[in-house]
Amino acid sequence: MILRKLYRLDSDFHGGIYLRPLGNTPRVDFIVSVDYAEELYLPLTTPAGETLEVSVKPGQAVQTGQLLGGDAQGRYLYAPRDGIVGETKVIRNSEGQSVLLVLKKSSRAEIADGDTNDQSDQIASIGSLQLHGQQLSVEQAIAISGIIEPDTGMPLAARLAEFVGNDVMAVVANAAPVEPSLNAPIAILHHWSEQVFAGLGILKTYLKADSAVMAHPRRVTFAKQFACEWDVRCVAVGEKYPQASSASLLRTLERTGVFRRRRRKTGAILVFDVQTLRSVERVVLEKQLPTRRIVTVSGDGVAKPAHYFVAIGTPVKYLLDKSGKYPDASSVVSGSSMTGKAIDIDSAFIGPISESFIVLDHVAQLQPERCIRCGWCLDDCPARIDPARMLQLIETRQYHRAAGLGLFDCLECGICSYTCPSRLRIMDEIIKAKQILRGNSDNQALRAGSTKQTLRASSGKQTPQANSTRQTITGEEES
Amino acid sequence: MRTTLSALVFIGLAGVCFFGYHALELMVVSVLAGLFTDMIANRIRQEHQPGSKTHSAIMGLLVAFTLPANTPIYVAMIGASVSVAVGKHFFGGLGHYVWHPALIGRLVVQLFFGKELSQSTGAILSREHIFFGDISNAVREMSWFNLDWLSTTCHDVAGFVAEQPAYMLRSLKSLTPINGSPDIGQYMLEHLPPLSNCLIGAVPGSLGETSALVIVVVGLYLAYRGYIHWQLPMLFIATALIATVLCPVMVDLGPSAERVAWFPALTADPLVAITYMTYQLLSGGLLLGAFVFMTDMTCRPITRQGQLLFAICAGVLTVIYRYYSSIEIPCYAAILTMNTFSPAIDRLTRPRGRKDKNRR
Repeated sequence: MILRKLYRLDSDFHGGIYLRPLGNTPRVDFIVSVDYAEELYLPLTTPAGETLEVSVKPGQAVQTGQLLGGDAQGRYLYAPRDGIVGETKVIRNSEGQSVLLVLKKSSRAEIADGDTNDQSDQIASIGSLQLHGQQLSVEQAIAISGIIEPDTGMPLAARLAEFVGNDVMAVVANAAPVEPSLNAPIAILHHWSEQVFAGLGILKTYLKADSAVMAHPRRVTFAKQFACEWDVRCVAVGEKYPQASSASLLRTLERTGVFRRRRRKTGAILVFDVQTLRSVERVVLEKQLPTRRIVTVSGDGVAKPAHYFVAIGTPVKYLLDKSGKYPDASSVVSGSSMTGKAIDIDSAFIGPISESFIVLDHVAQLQPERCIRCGWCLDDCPARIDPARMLQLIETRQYHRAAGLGLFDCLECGICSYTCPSRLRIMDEIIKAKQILRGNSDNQALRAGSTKQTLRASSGKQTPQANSTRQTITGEEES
Repeated sequence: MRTTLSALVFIGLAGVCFFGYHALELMVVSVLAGLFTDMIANRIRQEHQPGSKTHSAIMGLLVAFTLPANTPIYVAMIGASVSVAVGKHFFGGLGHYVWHPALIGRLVVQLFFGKELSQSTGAILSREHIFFGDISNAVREMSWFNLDWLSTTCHDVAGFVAEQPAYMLRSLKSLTPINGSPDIGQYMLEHLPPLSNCLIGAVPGSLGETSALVIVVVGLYLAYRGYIHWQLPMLFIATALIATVLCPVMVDLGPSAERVAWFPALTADPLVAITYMTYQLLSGGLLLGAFVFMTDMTCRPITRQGQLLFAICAGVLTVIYRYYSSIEIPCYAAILTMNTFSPAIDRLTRPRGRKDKNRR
C-alpha cells in the first residue's frame, strides 16, 4: 500500500483508505433464501419521513403482489406474500416514530373468499392494473413497481424521468462493495449476472445512453458473455474505501480512461447499484415486483455472517438469530460501519432500502479532544475538502462560509472521523451543518446545541445521522 | 505525544554520551521547568487539555537540545519557561500557536545570553569518559588536524576542547589562496573534524544537534509511525544542500583578509565541494531542525503541497542565513520565518474540492 501511494500504480481516486474486514466476510457463493413464517411488519413510513396511504382494510385477504399502499410521489408498497391485513402499528425508535402495516399469514381458503379492492382512490387505481394484465412500457413498469434507490431514498422513476429527455452519456453499474465485509454486490453478480447486465442494458436503451459500464472489484468472477450480449464494458476497480460512493467511482472510471473515446463530450453519467438493476430487470422482463431484498448480516458479533434473500417486513431479529448473533454483542448498526446508524433490534424490520446490518462485538466510548492539525483527515478525504477547517467553521457557526469552501462536496464517507487521532466527530458535525443549511431541521434546537434534540428532530435516510461506529458510538443513540 | 517524547529521549542519550552529566542536568532541568510553567499557565487559563503536559515536556527537552554544553543551568530554565509560557500558551496553547515554542525559547536565550553561548571552540568528552565525564574538566586544547575522537585517548583530563564545526564553517577566515581561489580543502582538513566524528556526534556543538545518525534514525521511525511525512525533511535537506552548493560563499582570503566569493559548484576539485556540502549537512541544527522542529504539527502547513513549499523555502532560507547573516542560529531562524508564513501557505494550497463535472 505504501508503494502504491508512492508510485500511483492504481488508478483510484485521490485520498480514501483501505479498510480491513470487520469480522468474517460472508461467503459470496451462498445467498440464503429466507421465508419468514410469522407476521410481516411492512413499513409505511418512507425514508423521508412521510407515511404512505393504505389502500386496504384490516381483515382483508390479499394476494402476493397486491398493492397495499402508496403515495403521490411514486412509492408503492406491495404484499410480499399472501396473507390477511392486520392493523397498523406505530412504534418508536431512534428516528422518531414509524408506522407499520401488519400482514398476518393466512391459509388458502381465506384467499378464495376475499374480495378484490374496489376503491376509487387514484393511487389504488394505478396499482390495480396488475402487471400481468397489460403491456406496459419500461417507464410505466418502473413507475408502478415503486423501486426505490437505496442511497437517496427517492423512487427510481423520478430520477429516470428527470434524465430521459436530456443527454445521458453513460450508465454505470456500481458493483464495488461498500466495505470488505459487505460484499453483497459480488454475491449478486455471482448468482444473477445475467439479470444485472440485462437491467443495465434496459436502462441504457431507455435513457438512450452512449455506453454502459460495469464497475466491479478486481477479484470477482462472473459470466462475461452477458456483458457482450448487452453491450456493457466491464472495468475492474480497486477496493479503496469509498469506492462504492458514486462520486469516487466516477473519478476512478475517468482515471481508467473508459470515457475517453466518446462521441459527445457532455452529458450526465448515471450510477446505479446492482440490486436496483436486478429489480429493474425483474420488473420489466419478468413482471416480478421488488418485494424481496438481499440483506447482508456481518460483523464480529455474529458467528456466521451471510447474505439473505428476504421479504420486506421481516424482523431483523430473525435474521440476526439465523446468523448466530452472540448474546453479548453490544450493538447492531444499519448501514456500513463507517456511516451507519445504531438500531434497536426489537423494533427494526427490513424496509425497501435496507441493505446491511453489522453486529459489533464491543464499541469503545471515547471522548473527542482538540484538533492537533495533523492533517490526516485532509490527506485521506476523497472529496478533497479540508475537514479540519470545516469543523472549525461549523463549531463557530459560520455555515455559509463552510458552504463556500465546499461543504456540500462532502461524500459523508466518515474517513475523517475514522482517522482523526483526537477522535473528533467531524462527519457528524458536517451532516448537522448540511441539515441546517438545507433548513429541514428544527433550527432552534440546533442553535441551542443540544445533541439529544438534534437526534430527535433530524429527518431520515436522505441525510442520515451517523456515528463512526468503527471507532465510537455516541451515548445518545437511544434518545 | 508520548511516542515522540520516548523517541526524543534517544537523541538526549546521544547528547549525554558525548557531553556528560551536565548535559543530563540541563535536559532534566529544562523538562521540569517546562512542566512547571505549563502547570501554572494551565491554572491561569483554567484550561485542561489532555496532551498538554507531555507536549510541554517535549518543548523543554527540545530547548535543551539546542543549547551548547557549557550553558549555565539558569539559562536552560529560563529558555524552557519562556518557550512554554510565551511560545505556547500566549498564542493559544496546544494546536494554536504560530511559532515553534522551543525555537522561541532558544531565540530569547540567544538574545539575552548569546555572548556566552556562541564561541568558536567547545568541549567534548573523550572516549574513556563518555556518559560520566565532567565537561568542565575537558580542557585539553587540540586541533582537528591531529584529533580523531575514535582513536585519540585522554587520561588526565576528561576531554578535549576543539573548534566547533558549525562556527568554523561560517567564518571562513585566513584561507591560503591557491591559483587565486581559496583552498577550502586544506581549511577543512585543519579546522573541521573528520566526517565519521560528525556522523556519530563526537563533535562539540549543541546537545542534541551533533549526532546525525541518531537524529536520522529517530526521524525515520517517527515517519514510519505516521507522525511526520518523510517528504518534508527530505525536501528541506535536499534544497538546503543544493543551495549550499549553488550560492556563493564569502571567504576571507589570505593575511590581507580580502573578501572573495567562492562558488562551491565551480571548484576545480568536485570532491572538495561534496565534502563541504556534507559538512554543511552534518553541522549546526540542520538535521535536528529538519526532522524534529519542522515537522511539529501545529506550526507547519496542514496540506501536503503546503508542506513541500514550506520545506523548500526553509531550505533556501537556511542557507541564506548561514552565508549572508551573522545570526548564530540560522537554521532555527529559517524555520521560525517559515512558521510565520504557514497560515498563508495553508490558504494558498487549501484543497479546492472535486473538479469532475459529471457529478450525480
